[in-house]
Amino acid sequence: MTVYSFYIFDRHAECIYKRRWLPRPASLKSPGGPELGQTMRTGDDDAKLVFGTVFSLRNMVRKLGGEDDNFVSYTTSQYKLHYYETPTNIKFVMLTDIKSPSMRIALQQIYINLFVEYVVKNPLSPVEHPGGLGVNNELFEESLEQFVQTRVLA
Amino acid sequence: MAAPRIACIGVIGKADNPLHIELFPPYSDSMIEFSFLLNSCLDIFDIRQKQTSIDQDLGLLHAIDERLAAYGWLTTTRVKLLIIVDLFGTETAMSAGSAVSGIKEADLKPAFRALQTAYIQLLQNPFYSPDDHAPTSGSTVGSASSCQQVLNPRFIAAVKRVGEAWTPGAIL
Amino acid sequence: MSTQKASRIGEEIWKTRIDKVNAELVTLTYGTIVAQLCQDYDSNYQEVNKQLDKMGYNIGMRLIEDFLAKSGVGRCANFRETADMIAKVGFKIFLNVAPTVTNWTSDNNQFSLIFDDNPLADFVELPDDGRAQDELWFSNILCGVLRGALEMVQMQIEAHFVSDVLRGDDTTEMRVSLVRYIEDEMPPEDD
Repeated sequence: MTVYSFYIFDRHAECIYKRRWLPRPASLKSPGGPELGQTMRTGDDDAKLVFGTVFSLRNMVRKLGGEDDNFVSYTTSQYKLHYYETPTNIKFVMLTDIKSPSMRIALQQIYINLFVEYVVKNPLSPVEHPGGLGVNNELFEESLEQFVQTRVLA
Repeated sequence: MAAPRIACIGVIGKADNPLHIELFPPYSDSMIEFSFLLNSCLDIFDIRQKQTSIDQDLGLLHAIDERLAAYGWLTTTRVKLLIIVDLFGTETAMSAGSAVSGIKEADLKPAFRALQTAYIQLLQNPFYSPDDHAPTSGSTVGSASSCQQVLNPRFIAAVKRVGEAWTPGAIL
Repeated sequence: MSTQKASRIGEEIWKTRIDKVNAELVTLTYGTIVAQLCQDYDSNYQEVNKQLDKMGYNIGMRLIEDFLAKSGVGRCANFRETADMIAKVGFKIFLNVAPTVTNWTSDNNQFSLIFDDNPLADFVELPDDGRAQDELWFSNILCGVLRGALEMVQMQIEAHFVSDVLRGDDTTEMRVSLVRYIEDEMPPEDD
């Protein structure tokens, strides 16, 4: 299994954390190759695109399936997007290869064991992460890295 | 039956500052005499502390006369609890002949324990500030006027209760 | 979800998933904070109430995540369910008390929490200055906690104490009113 990227969006629709692993799926690659400077901008755009997608999809799902319904993942020919949303409207998104099993539980675990433990419970870290600063937390990042590594090897 | 009763309870702070003194009938009006007695007991505390490493329960400090005896208790934080016992008791105040010869030191343990519990409860109230009751550094140690006595009604009631309820062997 | 079920969930989480801490430590810590605030604000108790509420708000915003992570419960179907969840699960797992939910208004938007037992206020006697008894809400931090926590799950509420045994009242009662459900925020428009 390959994990391409991972995003967290807060309740203000802001991307508070993103992490990408190579190789990225072709469809999300910027045309013209990985030039310096270009990659950063593309990363931001990716996050916006991902948010727009999951936001619309989630609203559509709720309209069709009722308030409690939510989508778990969708698959394209290139990648699979996994989605988990907490009741506090924090959205966890992970992009993997299409053969990957459901990562819903994994995303939930990231929320419970990593995000809540290291980010929320750190009294010195702000409650909200406005202004694009995002989650800047070594423990969280290291643990996430480790978590994803074990998944990839599994 | 002559039952020994508590005549006076003194709670004295670390710096020998009186935190609370409660008198019980028939001694309710003898504040000056008992202040004097308590003061003299504090000297015994000092002497005992110098002599040996002592237990919390100091037992009998001083038999003042055939009627009154002072017992002491020292907390690890150096708060002194003093109980002056009237060996004749109130009912038999007129008939000295029937007085019991004495009481066992262990008899006062429950009273001291109850006082200590009351003191701990006093400290647990976040609005009670122990520093307000300690003498300011400039003033002479033990001068009662420089520091405030405890006014907390719950603490005072608890002390009163101990003083009124205690008899040898009573459960407090 | 019924009140009984909420109670069971609360009980279960309390037993299995909560790290316990010495109660005196919590009580003394909180008491010291309140006493210090009273001192810092020169016994301006309105201001102390406000500060406590603010501190609670910040705690609530974090605590809700821990609550959700530990309980694994989803969104409540209505405000009545929310009330049970607060009383029987929230208060249970964080303070090991389960206040009674009562005094609903007919529109189901306002209720009271009656606290039989309040671990924050053990040992406390309000200052004897003739004003604290009328002005200070000692446990006001709890109002803020609820406000912060519920805001994170899209409910704007208003909470305040209406009585407190510390003041000599018969009960300790907090009134909670739902102001509105908060809509999802949209991402800012691109220029």
